[in-house]
Amino acid sequence: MPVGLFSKRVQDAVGLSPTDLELLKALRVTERTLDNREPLCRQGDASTQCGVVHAGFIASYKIANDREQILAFYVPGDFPDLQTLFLPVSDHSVVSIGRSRVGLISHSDLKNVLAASPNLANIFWRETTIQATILREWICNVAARDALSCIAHLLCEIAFRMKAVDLLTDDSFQLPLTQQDLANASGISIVHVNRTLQELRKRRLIRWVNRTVTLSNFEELKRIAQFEPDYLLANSA
Amino acid sequence: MPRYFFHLQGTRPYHDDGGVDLRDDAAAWAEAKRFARDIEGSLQPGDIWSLEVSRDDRLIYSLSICARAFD
Repeated sequence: MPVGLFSKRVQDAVGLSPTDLELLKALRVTERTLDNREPLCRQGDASTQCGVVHAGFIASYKIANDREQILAFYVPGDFPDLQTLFLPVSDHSVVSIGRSRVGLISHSDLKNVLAASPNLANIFWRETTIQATILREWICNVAARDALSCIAHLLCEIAFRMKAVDLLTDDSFQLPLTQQDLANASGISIVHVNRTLQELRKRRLIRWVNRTVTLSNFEELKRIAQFEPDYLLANSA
Repeated sequence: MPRYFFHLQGTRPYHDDGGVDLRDDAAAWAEAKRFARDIEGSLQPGDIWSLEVSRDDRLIYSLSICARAFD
């Protein structure tokens, strides 16, 4: 199914009628593979389509004061550039981290589906609400949390989002991020990101080998992060 | 890109074994300021620390903070 992981996550959280499921299944999707750091959309682009992530990892960012500020991460089943549906010109860039696969859906097809089903319109509105609740947590990460709880919060959040699409196995998941990416997402210096990861390892809360992160003590990590997963609006919490 | 090391001396020393590859000295200074801001959060009255930035083995910047309490 072209939008399978998205449908699965939404189905688990709020349910989908057979008609809505059919409408999603019938969407015309063009497959595209993105290489590491290849853009899905660039700031200033006028997009005519949205992508849904099939596999891999995506980030959105803006350049401010010569620095790349990562604004969001997207995992399989997410629509990273959904907001371009209403943006004549994109105000930010979206890029693949590591190799990823996305399905592209034209804006006009998506708008037709949303017009055909008020329930699906609600579901996509809900999707942008989740993106907004995540952004609120990230503002707290950047401005209020200390480095240890900020990095812990980011890792807990990604783990929960992976869990919702069955990509969390024994508290382990694939994470192609570099320490520079974590620095760009958290506003913390790369040196301090490195020290913070060392501290999390030393406390036996995480293991990070190559691209596999294991949350060795998820409960303690959640406590340090003060992580309350309700804002992700998933049922798997 | 040159490799820069950010060592801390003082109350809570830290030895940067790995270093970070950065574009130039100006990028290292920007990183040093950001790092100083990150560790400022745990600063206590009475703490003294200095951040030493080296390009490979050569010291290029240092930045010191001394926090005193008078009462």
